[in-house]
Amino acid sequence: MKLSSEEVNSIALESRLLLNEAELAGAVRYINNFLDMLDRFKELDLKDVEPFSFAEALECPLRDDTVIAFPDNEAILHESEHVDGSYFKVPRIMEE
Amino acid sequence: MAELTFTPVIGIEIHIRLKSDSKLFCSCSTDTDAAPNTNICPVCMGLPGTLPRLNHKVVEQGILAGLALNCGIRPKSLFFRKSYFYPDLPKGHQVSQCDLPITTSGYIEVHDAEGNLKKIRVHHLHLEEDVGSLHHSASDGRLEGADTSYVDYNRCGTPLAEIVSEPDVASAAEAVEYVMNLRRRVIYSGASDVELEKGMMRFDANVSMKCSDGRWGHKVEVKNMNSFKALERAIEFEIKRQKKLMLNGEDVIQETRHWNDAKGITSSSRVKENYRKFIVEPDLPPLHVTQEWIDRMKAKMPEMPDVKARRYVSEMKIPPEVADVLTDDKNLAAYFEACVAAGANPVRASHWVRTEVLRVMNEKQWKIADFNIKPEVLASLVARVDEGKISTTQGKEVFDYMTANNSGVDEAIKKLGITEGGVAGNALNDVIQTVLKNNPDVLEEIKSGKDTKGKKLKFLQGLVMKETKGQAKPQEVAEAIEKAVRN
Ligand SMILES: [Zn+2]
Repeated sequence: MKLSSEEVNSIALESRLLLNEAELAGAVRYINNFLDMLDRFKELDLKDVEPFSFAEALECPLRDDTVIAFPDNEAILHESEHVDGSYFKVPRIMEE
Repeated sequence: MAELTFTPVIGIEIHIRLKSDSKLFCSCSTDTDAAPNTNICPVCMGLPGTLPRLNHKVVEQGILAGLALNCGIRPKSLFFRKSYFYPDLPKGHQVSQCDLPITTSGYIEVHDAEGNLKKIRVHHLHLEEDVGSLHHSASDGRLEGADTSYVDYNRCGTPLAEIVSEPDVASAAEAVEYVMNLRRRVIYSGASDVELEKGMMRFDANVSMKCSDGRWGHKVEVKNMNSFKALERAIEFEIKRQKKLMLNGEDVIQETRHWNDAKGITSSSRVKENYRKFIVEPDLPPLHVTQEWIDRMKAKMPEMPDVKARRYVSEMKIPPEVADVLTDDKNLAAYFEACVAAGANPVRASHWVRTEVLRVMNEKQWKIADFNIKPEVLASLVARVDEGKISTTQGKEVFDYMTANNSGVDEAIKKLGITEGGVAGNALNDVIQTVLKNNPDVLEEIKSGKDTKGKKLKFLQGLVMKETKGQAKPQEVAEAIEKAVRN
């Protein structure tokens, strides 16, 4: 599988990254090298192998449904420069 | 030439807010009405170095909701990060079980156009987190120009169940029955209160059209419906729009369209979602649900509302429309069943609950838990009316007296001066004689044969009924008067 530079560019835009020509070329090369490596796996017979996502047979830890309020939500608001009262401000989203 | 016909092919995606005190992956409160950005923490804000921790209760709610939709429960499910770049979700990805959901497939039954039961298959139900809410004006109502939106992350990370149907829905009416029935079942299961006015249930619909000439229109995803009415109108609009295009020989473009409730139209969405790709959430190992856990949840499941309604119809001979009303609310159904268990005739009791109990609840804005006539007390009242000890009209007076004064049946009957058993026989004849004595002119007219239309006779019957305070049987009164007049 190969990605075109247009495809890589639109992925970059989705991720809010603006790439110049050299950076785009570098990203295309990097991603396609990685995809080439994945292609090599296709040579193996993996019919009966379960998809692998975790290194160990971990259990998903569960917590009780208890409310513990975070003590300093002001600090979280201060993480942003764009705050009005207790709201975060973002560029206007146009919706119909 | 045969006329072209069109068959709508509709799939529905539903998001339901599951009931829990804390969020899906952090211990923040799920109270979305709190002051903006007060129920937030580093986890739901996606700050670096935090770890999500799954809420045990939400898993149970997901299992219950799944069971309510006749779904199987998967012993192993998995969370994914779905890329999502929009300011209402600060992480840049939504954590969702989209690719390995907690349930397998299920179904919900609806009635098709011919009134036959049909199954709408549910593809699956999965758990995921909700996003924050965007406001286009500040809390004080001030609009800061056209270039700013305000974000409140209180809702961000609250637990959702996404329910995806197969494209089995063939009309707007079926869609509405599907979502209404599904909502009732989920409420019965206890997984959610699904309060519509609080936005706890949101709908998207995939609509396409099949034409009798073999053409298939492309699928259009319609978003932004928050009520049954909006879902119905949006689907009807989209069916009409696509049909018109296809009749003109034009293509239906595959796209996402936005429902505008105020204008009553769908319009092409400008937001392009090209890369909704996902990876496994590395911070959440697979969720294992044991058979023992599933069995425990199954034991908690009450009888489902549509099953209950069908049982009322088949076992108790209750009219289907009454059975529907009684089973709409689990607690109301329990009240009715308690009346029956206390010995009330099911059909009579169902009418009393549906008309009188619901009327008082409505007038007083009560829930059934607030209703102050105990089911066994109502059963006793219903029985007395049933046995003819008091008339239906009197029964209603007794009922009103009991709710107004928190009294029992006997006390109400006594206070209202009602004679149980009614006025009949000699007592009735006494009343009739008094009435005849007080109206000699009327009696004379009847006897002389001038009352050809029986109007005067009816007049006398009315007077007797009034004298007996309605405690006599009209049929008996009519017969007794005729007899008395002839003598
Ligand atoms: Zn949180």
